[in-house]
Amino acid sequence: MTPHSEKPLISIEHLNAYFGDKHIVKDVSMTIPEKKILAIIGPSGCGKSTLLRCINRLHEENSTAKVTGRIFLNQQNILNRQTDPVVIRQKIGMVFQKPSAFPGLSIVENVIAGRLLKGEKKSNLLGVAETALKQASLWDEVKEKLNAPGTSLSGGQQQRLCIARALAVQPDVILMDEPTSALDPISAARIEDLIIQIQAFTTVIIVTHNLQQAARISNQTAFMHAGQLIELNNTGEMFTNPREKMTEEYITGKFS
Amino acid sequence: MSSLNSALHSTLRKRRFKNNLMTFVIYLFSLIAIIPLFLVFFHIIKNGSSSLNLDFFTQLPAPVGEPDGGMANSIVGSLILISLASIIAVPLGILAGLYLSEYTEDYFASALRWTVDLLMSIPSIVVGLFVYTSIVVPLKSFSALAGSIALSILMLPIVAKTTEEVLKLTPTHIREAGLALGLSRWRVILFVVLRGKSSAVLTGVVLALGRVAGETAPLLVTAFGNRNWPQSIFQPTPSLPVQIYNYAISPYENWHRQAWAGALTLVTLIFVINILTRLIFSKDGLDKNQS
Repeated sequence: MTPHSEKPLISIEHLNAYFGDKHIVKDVSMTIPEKKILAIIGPSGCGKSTLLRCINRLHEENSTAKVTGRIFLNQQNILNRQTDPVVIRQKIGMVFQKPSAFPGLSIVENVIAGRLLKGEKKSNLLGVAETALKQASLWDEVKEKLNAPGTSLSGGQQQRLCIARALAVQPDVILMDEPTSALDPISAARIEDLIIQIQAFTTVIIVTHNLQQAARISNQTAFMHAGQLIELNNTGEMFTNPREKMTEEYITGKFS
Repeated sequence: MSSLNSALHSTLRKRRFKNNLMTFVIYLFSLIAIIPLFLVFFHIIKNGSSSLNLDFFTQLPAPVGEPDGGMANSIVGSLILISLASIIAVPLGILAGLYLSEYTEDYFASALRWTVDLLMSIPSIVVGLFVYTSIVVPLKSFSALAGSIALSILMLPIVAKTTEEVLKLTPTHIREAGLALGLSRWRVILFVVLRGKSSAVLTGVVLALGRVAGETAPLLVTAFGNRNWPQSIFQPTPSLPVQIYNYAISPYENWHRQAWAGALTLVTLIFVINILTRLIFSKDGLDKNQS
């Protein structure tokens, strides 16, 4: 299922995800083009976050989790047992609902954590940190206090710090799981602007409950319900002329 | 309108009174809770400070009947025992705590948790007797090694338990954020989870040190003590608690005064270790990687 013929970066084929006996994601297939923003919407418990976590194989960190199907990133099946999830996660970063600055690390150390904690020298990574902080529109606010604890920043700043941290490892894709739901409206608006800006360097897949947010920032929107992908469409069409009746009912608030 | 105002004022007055009363009760009970601590401090300082002088920290114990003398050998012996015990128990305890907090669903973790809980409740004299039969008897000598092993067995469950409890407080999304960066699980555990809680883990270590620094019973049957300088970790080694015990039960007034001075030194030693570790790690290890 793809709305137009752009070069796909990620191709999901017949993906099924389970927690124990619970079938959470049901036979989802879709393609996601390069350097675009895809929003995944749907009611609570419909499998949006589970689908997202399958894409960087965080799903399997749960001992009861099971996944079948295939996910191709640049023609490589990342669900293949021989593929190291650590390598996949370097290509597919993630930003979570709650700001997750690492305690005990300074602002600059947080940004370069993906490489610093693998043994690279901090002094060699300061340029990377500056670039990532500028890309995340945080540089001007923190350049005078780079050695202050990352946790000393406000919630909105910490979330931008997490985006900078994800950008610093130069991933092909960044997954965002409701990244603004724990933030005030002003901080949320800044994150939305930032997501639109980083589209220039990377593909973004964002799970959101906020339909207006999906309409504002994404190129494509996927609507999920009860584990199934109901519709994947260009965002403009999805919100003005959806193909499926269920999508229309959801976006017009007839069920939630 | 005025009756409404007066009713409001009256409700507010009652609330303020209740609030002030409860605050007073909380302060009062907090004060009562710390009174024993201050009484112990006061008593030790009152009785021990008069015998504290340079000789006490630099001289060996004087023979019976001779005035003065010190506990320098016991201070050094205690430092050796605590250091050796820490070298054994701290890494093992932290690793056990890490395992318990990160692999909670594992059967081995359940067994380990149960063992740690059990170890925590074993009386220290039983640990002493165990080390006596398994180390002292085969080596045919009381020793600092045996003493420190006994102390490390007492330290281990405290360090493991506090580490586990502290690391469990790390939110799941912090661990997942580390994994999502492409860090392997062991790096996330060591450099994100453990590092983020290093201060709290260290507090557990200090708590364990404080607990074993004053242990007497297991040392009586393991390190035993002597009246000279510690020679080797394979020989009987003096320690402050054992020396205090020996002096306290003696019939000599001079030794009683020295026992009080020893108690004051022991409490101060624990206090200084506590303050120093808090000072060193107060920045959560932030300054370690500044280059």
